[in-house]
Amino acid sequence: MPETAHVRVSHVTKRFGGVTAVNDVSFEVPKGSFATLLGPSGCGKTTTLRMIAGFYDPDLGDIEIAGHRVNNLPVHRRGTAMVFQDYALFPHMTVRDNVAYGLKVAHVSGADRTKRVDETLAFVGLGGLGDRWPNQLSGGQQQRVAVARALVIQPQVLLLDEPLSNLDAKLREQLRVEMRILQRRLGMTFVYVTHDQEEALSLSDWIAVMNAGKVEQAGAPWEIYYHPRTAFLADFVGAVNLVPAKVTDLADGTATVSFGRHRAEVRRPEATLNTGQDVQLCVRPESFTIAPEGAATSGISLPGTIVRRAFLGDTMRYWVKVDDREWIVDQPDPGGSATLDGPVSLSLRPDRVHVIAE
Amino acid sequence: MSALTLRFPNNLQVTAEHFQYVLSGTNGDALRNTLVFSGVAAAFSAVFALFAGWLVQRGRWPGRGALDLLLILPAAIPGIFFGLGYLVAFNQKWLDFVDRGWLIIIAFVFWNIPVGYQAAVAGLRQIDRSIDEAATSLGASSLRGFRDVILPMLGGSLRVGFVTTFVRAVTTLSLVIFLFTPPTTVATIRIYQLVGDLNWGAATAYTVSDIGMAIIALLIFALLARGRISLGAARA
Repeated sequence: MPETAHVRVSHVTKRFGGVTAVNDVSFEVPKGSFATLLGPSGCGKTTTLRMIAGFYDPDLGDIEIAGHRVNNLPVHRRGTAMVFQDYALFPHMTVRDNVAYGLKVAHVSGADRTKRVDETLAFVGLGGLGDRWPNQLSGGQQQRVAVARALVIQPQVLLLDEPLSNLDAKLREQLRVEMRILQRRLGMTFVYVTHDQEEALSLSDWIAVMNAGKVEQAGAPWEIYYHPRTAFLADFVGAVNLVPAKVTDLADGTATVSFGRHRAEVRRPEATLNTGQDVQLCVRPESFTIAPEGAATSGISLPGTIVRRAFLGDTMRYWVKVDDREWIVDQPDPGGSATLDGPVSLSLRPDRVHVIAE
Repeated sequence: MSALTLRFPNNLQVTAEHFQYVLSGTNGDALRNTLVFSGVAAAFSAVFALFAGWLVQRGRWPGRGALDLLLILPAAIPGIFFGLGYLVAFNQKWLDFVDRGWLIIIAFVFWNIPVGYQAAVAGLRQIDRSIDEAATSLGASSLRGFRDVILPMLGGSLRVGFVTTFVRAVTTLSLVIFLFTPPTTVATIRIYQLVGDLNWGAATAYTVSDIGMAIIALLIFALLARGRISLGAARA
């Protein structure tokens, strides 16, 4: 068994009444990594996290932390700590007492306790706020207290259940960065649950996308983003063009596909393909180069007409009609080029086309 | 009026005679018994009901529904049947060691559990489960979490349970009428007896003292509640 698997979930199933919330889920989280369970609400991601924490018992399967099976260990003896969506601070204790609570329970003595509490508060940027009450803090500060309260006991694994969902967009982004820096600095194993694909992509070393109680795909963020195994995944982790196509020819490492009047030779996916099979092409909007009609193109060339556009700040998003299909195309740095209209030509490098076999 | 006049309504001369009677010697014992039995019972009942409420509301064990019913059931039983039941149950030789005073306290406790229990359940519903979970995830056993986190947050429910039990216990006649013995007489019993003797002056003096205890308890409760509100305001 590799020493690196810090949290191991093996064939875990959990049912609530007649509903199977988690269905034969297995994965491993390497030590010191930032792992994220991503999925729409009701996909079983929180249930899985709560089983790791010990709030639920799995009906089937095993959960191991640092090589030890923890199925029968109660919550408070698993060496994990949890950060909740609604912060769950103790309202009758000051910030300092909240953070000190875990140490008090662990019988850490006075001076040492004070030192560690102060250090941790400073670490999360809450230096002078130890004597405040939780209801005197903003949402972002409260969540930082909750993180400090969990970190101070130096858990083996930190579990985070949608910790940023209750914050506004700006703060969410800021805390996201802080969270990542924090995890890197501590080298602690984080297991993070979110329904926000952007959050998952930007934070994680490793993502498991869950749907209907199953892990649909697990891997590095870019792996999931560019090479999703299913159309659900492609659609869930960001804007995407999903285009029906047919496999016309197969060669070593490449596949020739035809869609509409077009034909392209693209990278062959890991999934097995047969000639004549119906597939879907997955193309991210930023994979195109868009230029006025008549400009030189390279790779796959698709002439089309702009139907509508949306200015997103960092990109201009165009909906371009090619034959009888609309494609989503992003143009980076729209300030640097003239806004396009009417007929355009799109070019697409064949290696940016991912084939989904279904 | 009757408590302060010699012979209401025929002789309206003001007198403290009835109160002196009420407070003198063994007569005073009745008031003291009322205070002690009700106070002890209220404390036990409030704490026990809170703990039971936590077990039922937060626990994950089979039979919770049955316990829930059991804890509510005493509310449906008239005090007089309750008292009678205790009399029959404890009127056995091998249970003679149970002091009659304690018997009354036990009856008070169980008779009033539904009140404290309801207050506890209502209070617990307002505390998100993630608060308990946070405590256990930080290394506290669930019992420890209850003590450190839930109990202090349920101060309001605890006080409601205590005061309601106390007031009900101070003013009940039906429950104790089968359970009292001469040394464990309580105020309501004395009132009943004195009315039977047509001693209106002493009976009303007892009544005033008895109701006074209930009112003082309610006042203290109100003061505590206000103190809590102003404490909250200072924090906000």
